[in-house]
Amino acid sequence: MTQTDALTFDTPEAMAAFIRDLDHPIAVEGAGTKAGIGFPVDAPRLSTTGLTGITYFEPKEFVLGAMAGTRLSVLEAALAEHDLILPFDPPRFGADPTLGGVMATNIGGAERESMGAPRDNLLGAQYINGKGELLKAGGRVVKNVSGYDIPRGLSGSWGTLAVFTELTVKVLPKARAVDQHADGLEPVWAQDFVWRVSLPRDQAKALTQAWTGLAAQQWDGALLWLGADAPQDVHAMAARAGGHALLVQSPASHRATDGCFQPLDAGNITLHRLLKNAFDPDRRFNPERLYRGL
Amino acid sequence: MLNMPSPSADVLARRDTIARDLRELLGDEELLITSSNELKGYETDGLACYRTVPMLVALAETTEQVAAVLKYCNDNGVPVMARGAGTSLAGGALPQLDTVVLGLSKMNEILDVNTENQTARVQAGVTNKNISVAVDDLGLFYAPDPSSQIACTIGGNVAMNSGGAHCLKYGVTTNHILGVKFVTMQGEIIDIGGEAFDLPSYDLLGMIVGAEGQLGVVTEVTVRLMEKPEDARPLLAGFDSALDAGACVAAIMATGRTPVAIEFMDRPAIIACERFTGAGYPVEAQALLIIEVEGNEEEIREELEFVEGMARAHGAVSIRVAEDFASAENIWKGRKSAFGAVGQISPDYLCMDGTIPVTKLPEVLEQVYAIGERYGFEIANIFHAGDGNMHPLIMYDSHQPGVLDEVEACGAEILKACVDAGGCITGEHGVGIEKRDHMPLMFTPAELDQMKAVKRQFDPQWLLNGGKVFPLDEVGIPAGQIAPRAVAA
Repeated sequence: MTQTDALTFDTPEAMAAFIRDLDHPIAVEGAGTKAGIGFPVDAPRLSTTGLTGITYFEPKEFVLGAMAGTRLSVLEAALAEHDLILPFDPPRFGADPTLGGVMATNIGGAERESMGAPRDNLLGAQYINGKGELLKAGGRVVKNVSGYDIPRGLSGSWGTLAVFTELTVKVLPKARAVDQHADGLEPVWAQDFVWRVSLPRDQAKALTQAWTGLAAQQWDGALLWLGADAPQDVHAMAARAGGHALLVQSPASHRATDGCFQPLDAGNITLHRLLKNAFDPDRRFNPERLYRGL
Repeated sequence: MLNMPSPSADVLARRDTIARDLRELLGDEELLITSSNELKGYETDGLACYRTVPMLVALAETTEQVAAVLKYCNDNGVPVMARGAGTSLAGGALPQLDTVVLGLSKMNEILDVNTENQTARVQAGVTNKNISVAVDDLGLFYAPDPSSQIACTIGGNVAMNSGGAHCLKYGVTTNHILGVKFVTMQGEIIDIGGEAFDLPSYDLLGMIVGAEGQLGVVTEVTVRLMEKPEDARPLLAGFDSALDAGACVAAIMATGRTPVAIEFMDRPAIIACERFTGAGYPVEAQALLIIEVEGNEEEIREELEFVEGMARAHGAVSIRVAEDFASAENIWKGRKSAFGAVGQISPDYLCMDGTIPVTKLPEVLEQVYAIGERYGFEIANIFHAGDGNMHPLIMYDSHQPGVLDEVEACGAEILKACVDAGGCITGEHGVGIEKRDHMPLMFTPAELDQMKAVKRQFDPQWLLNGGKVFPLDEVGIPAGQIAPRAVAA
């Protein structure tokens, strides 16, 4: 696959119009900081990085709205002026991700236990569905049960259900943040293969002992980072422990055949398919990035 | 008055056959309720102004029975609705004449508590409070605490994404659910999530929690437990004006020093609660705040000092700090029985649930009073002020002909004021039937269609808890439910 520039748009409306008229699938991305995760998508790339800027900021309400392509560093700089932070502090994968990408992938940060995952801090979203409709869901207030929770439903979908164009999130005063970064993470990332394993805490010890490669832990054991110089069946190990693994670093050749996401049972795949049908019936967004046939 | 979909004559005509078949599926005579006397016990929920006796009630004891009943209803075109304790304030558990109510209250076992993972796996019919009671000895608790927590079930909480007073600090139901056993309308049993903190890919729990029981039926729930704080202490502050109290809340929240709970009551609510519980509320005050802080002895002292200072700076005329467990319980007793108390001073009331940005509290409160005055209704305000979740209770007497239409019009104006202030029509009670027709205040037809597209995927015949959440179209059913769109396989 040749690497060409991703398509960008200055407004959500223009992006929606483009999607409405599509007659082929597209690869959806933000800044592409997690492009190395999932089956490679062989399709023209659409990026949200043209949609930038803070759209709503009320420090006294601890609420911030921004276009999906806005980089976290931009948000953090604006928040710092008011001694505020993004509570969810996601892993950066060595780069500067977009807010949309962080919500679409929903990878919890070091302080997930006390601060919640990205999705726990997501209040509202504007998004484009697979039919090219520009829609809103959720809102600006923390407590909101007006209709189905579409913003959370789209979190963790890796751009396969919809394209986020604008997000509204909860922010927090700086004083409440606690730093608890993991020891031993760097050597793990120096390996060719890196897995992120989310599992019940009481299983962490057994799994780490059985693991022959490098390991680091967060969340008091409920999150493991495993590194190895050759592929291992970490998905099976994680499943036996009642958790799941995501291969976050691997050679492209391996990814293309084996994928990165935890294999799901038939029931869970069915539910994924139902959501895909509901949001992207024509299979336009990131086909098969997560699972074959989806 | 809200319209409900017309019952299906065909389904009603098959009642005896359906009853026979369900009895066989359940395998126990006792589990199927058919007598009109007993069915009447399921005619309404916490929105008691609407009542419809259901066709049949099936009481499930196992997930397999739930699956069998759902599959049967799906195969035979029979409307069905799951019910926990029936405490919904939004008509979320209101049946229709042709509905089979699937009662889950017999599924009330706590299956597993894991202290290391700080999780509990419980059946859907376990009450919210009983989870916390069961793990109290371990120094743990389940955080979301709806006022009805003694009665309401965790299954109902999951369906409605319930909140509560302490959600200000701890978050709502969706932030505390790690896994569910989910039964589809087609009768498939699917385990979603587990004891890990997150899911492998799609946030299926995020989609299911708060979908008001329209996508499937949850029979087991794995919840996250929290460590109990060393101690917690509420402070009661009385104000000469409701607007001062509202401004005090906005000012406290703006500092970022979030207390565990900030509850607001205005004069009509204070008087009702005092008469009902004798909690020692300041009856001369126009408004009061209950502000709870928690932590160790020193943290509590510091936070109480801060909160008291803020209250005085905003004109608090009386302050009472709970000195011990008993006086703390007493302060909360008034608040937790507030809805019941208002029920004592007014024959009927309609409880609103609009939520607004906290900075808008004083201004929206003023609008609420003005709207009530214009309609000639007294309104008692009791709400979770810290997160802007308002509960204006519109008091009325249902014996007055046509009054419910007036009350609902008054409520609609209040909700519109909330939406105009940047808020939403329901913060924690759910849409149910009550706010169904107000959804267009927040969403365009295309946005509602997207939600309905999800529903249609899970339940193409629109049999599961229909007539709720979405406005009915001209023929009395949510638009588009009849002919499911063909979808790619």
